[in-house]
Amino acid sequence: MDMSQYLDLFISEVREHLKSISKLVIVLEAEPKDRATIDELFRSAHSVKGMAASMGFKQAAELAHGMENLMDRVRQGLEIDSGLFDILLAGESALSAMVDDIENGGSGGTGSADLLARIAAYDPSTGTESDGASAGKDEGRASRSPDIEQPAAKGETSVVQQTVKIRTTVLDRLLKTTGELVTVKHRLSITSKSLRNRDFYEAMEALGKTIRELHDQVMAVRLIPLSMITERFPRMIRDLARESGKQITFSMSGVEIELDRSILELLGDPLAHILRNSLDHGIETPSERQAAGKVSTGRVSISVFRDKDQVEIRVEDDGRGIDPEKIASAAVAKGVIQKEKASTLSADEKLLLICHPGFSTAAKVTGISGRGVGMDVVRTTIQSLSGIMSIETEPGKGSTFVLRLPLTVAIINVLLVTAGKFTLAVPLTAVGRTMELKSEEIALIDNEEVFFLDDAMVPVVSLSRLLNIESGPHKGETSSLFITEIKGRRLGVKVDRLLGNQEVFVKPLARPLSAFAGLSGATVLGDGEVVFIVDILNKVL
Amino acid sequence: MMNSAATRYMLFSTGGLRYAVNVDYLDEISELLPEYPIPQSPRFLRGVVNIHGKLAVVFDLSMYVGTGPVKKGCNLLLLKMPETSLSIVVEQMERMISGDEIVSVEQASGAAGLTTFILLDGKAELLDPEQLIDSMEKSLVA
Repeated sequence: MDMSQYLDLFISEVREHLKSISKLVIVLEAEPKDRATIDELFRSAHSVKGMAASMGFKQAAELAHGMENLMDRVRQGLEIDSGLFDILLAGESALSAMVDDIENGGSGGTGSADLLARIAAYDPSTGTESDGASAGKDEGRASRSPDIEQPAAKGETSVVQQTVKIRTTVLDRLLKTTGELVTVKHRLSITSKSLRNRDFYEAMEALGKTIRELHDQVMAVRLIPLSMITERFPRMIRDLARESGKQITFSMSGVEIELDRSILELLGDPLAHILRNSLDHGIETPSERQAAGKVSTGRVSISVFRDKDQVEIRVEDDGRGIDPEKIASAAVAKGVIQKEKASTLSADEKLLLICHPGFSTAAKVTGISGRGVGMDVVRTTIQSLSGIMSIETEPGKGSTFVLRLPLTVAIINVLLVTAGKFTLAVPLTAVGRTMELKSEEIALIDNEEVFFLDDAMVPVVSLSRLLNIESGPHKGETSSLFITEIKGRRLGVKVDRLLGNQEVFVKPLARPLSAFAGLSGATVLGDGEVVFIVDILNKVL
Repeated sequence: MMNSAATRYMLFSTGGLRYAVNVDYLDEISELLPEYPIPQSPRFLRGVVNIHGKLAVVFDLSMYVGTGPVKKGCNLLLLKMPETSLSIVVEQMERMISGDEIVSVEQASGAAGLTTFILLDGKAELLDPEQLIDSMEKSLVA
């Protein structure tokens, strides 16, 4: 029987089971007696064995069979220690490599006799493969495995849902078509106004409503929980903690919050890099922590919150924190910034120097967080998603990397404004309110324009100046501006004219436009005009 | 891309110079379209156009290589490269040639260090779109 037609399904389902195994091992490590987790691990190994055998991948089936037998022995009462977790994770890694090989046209690799022998010989009571001994990692014994808090991983009853697998390219096309429909709708709206035909106008209203419903459905289909990318982190933290001899409690909350898949696809690596940095540079060794009067186990967490149509991801550690002055000194020493310029930066700006390409304050380059080539990519990626990154830190107490991102980047509401010869779009998520101010309401203090709002002084900058473009002639006695808020600080952004709000389909910028700082996309208005979307938050920061 | 007898090039002229581009890089030749300005852009990027829903930057090659702005463009040459959307405004589309029509090649002798093809009816600067976009991005970041 030709089984090749089932290959895609086999690969995708085995990968799901392997992800589950990796997650369950970490849960079991925190609660080694948990029967539900032991049973679930047994079932997952059993499923992989069955699928691999039916597809004729003998090596994968044998390895999964070995893992299944091992878990059966655990179910029968075999005493376990940390060696079990190492073996199971090694099995999961080996099976993942086999699936990769199969996907690339191979037969699943050359076998795993050594690993199978380790699995068969595992018995802590005889001292075989216990506490990581066979892996020869003394540091594995010295450091306690991280406690991973996984409140939702066990005891859940699975709900059978009617689902169908669909290629992501189809979802992308669906979104693009819906976006184009939004643009066409705006074109028709303009026409309907000039026609002044009541029937046509009503039909347009109905069409608009239907497109809105379609858009909501398409977006809902594309939303994926953040846990899709965070589920690998407990394993990663565990391995890094062992490697560096650090003790860590890792927790995640809010990862069930959903984001558009186009954002999630780009978010995994930046988050992993921030976590690696926290482990490598933030969390101290147990002895350093004790000397500093801290508990020997460090804490790292990811917390996710939803705020209207934005999501905030906080990666927090209780490590040594970051000293802005030390960062600034290092930046000057490395020639990243001039000494005079560094002295004018605020503490927040000094912290963000770690995002400069090639910057690293680590005394030595480590395999964990690399050579300082990561944080610049992290910040650039977040900015490319119209998000912002900030750092909160207190030396000796810890650091928090805060990422604020839109839930979706495809169809957004914008404020249309003019500045000089340009019509520009500002995402409404960056607009607090719009105002018209009389000339006398704007004062000059220290050569900077300010005005008072709710008894607080708000600085004013012009959009033309921010974007370094020529502003239009100032007409009349009033100035138009919108208020944006950055890290709790309000800022008035002056424009030539406020044109109003509109829902637009964002077209991502291709090369060479993607090299422009301050522009996050473009859109086509109903009359065909191409308008750029200003990344105001990152432009001001 | 390798130059061989089978390789085909499109000849076009702009800013008083003749250029050749490998046809594998050509996506479409379009009429001039309404251009919308790009904030903060250098003069060699004239604006963007909307070609069937796809936004393409209008690139003034003549301005870029230092032979002054294109005076009277007639077409846009939309290039085909991954994750890139670039069209070159040209003054005159000429003809397609094959590699065996190239008499000789002079490396880095032409405008902006381009390779020059010597043809029977004159010469043409060989445009390498990938190199072009790389150097353009570097100048934009700088």
